Amino acid sequence: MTWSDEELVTRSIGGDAESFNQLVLRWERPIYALAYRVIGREEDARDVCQETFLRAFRALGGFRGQAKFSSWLYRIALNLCRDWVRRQRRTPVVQVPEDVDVLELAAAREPVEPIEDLVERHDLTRAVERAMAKLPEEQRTAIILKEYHGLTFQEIADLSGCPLSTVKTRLYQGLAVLRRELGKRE
Amino acid sequence: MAEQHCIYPDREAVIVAYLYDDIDAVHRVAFETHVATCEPCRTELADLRGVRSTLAQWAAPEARQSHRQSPVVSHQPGWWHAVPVWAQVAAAMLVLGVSASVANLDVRYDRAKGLSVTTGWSKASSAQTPAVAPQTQANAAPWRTDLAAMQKQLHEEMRAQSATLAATSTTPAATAMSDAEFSRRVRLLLDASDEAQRQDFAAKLVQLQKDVYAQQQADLAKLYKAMGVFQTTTRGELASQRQVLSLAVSQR
Repeated sequence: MTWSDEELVTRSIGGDAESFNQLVLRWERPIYALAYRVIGREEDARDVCQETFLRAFRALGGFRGQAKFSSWLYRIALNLCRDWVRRQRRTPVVQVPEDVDVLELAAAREPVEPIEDLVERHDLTRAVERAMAKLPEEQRTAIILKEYHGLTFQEIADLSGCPLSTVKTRLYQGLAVLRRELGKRE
Repeated sequence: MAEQHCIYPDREAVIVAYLYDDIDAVHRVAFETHVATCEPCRTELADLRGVRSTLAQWAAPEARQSHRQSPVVSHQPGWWHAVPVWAQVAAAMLVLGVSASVANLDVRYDRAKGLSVTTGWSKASSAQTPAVAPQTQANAAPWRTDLAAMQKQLHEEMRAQSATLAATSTTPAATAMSDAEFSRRVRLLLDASDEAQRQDFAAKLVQLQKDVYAQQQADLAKLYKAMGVFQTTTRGELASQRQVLSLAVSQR
């Protein structure tokens, strides 16, 4: 039987650790992806992801269901990302590790992808990462939450603590920058 | 920029809402009607759709995770998880020691013979057996004493842990599991996917090395074969040349 997030939360609060494990399994990937795209470093994204679940676990008793569990989790993760950015005192730059070799990637991928496609996708990824790195944090976060996590404008506004209109403006401005930066590539 | 010439009300917000299909019907129809006659808006919409299409191809590393076996979703932890690490290590050492004693394990390193490992059974026919056996028996006695003490200790630990588990099973999850334990489990969860990926990559790397080696062998075989043909040809030519020279010399 598949429990909803809120049901799993209720069961977790009631003492069923297994239910919280299921929540971790269900949300670990999205939270990690969010952290990775915001701060751009795999190892740090992993730490943020771990810390997110740790904090959620600690605060589970205080979760009253006033928001979706996922929104609550995203909020924790985003706060941790912001802390990370402040601690680093720099603009997050998404980096592909220096030692990554395209041929290794090709060898590690199955089924075998034509090398031209692989190189093209690799270049595209690098271009997106560079373009995203040019955005102010709030625009980048809005785009990530919208594009990759499918949140509504209202949900992003709630998470970011800003008006709905501001979210739309941030999205528009962010997309405009990306349009310009990605246009340079062509 | 071309789109600056358009003065559609609240243009940026409407474009974003339309782009993400999060707009009410009335505004949608109004904007679509406008776009049909506004070149800057059409161009910008097309470009922003292109941006979204490009963004969709940016996969975070998590997409590579697979073959997961969650240690978090493990069920009740085995009793050995409750035994202190020192006890687990000690028990392992005891088992190893007792096994070695039972097997009469003998590990030797000799410069001439290198590393050799023999068991009591493999040495049974040797002349040294009578001398070694009493010594082994003498050594086994302390092990047994230690083992008995360890068994007692483990039983006490298990009993204590069972009591603790029974007491904590009725408390909320948030207090039943320590932060450190939870942190460890989450870490394991995250590492599991990496490990699977690393193993997968290592296997492929090994296969690649095998393929390269096989190709090298095949190439070498071809090369040797070609050299053999060349040498045969060369020897034949030399013999012919020698005959010609001999003939020339004899004709002088």
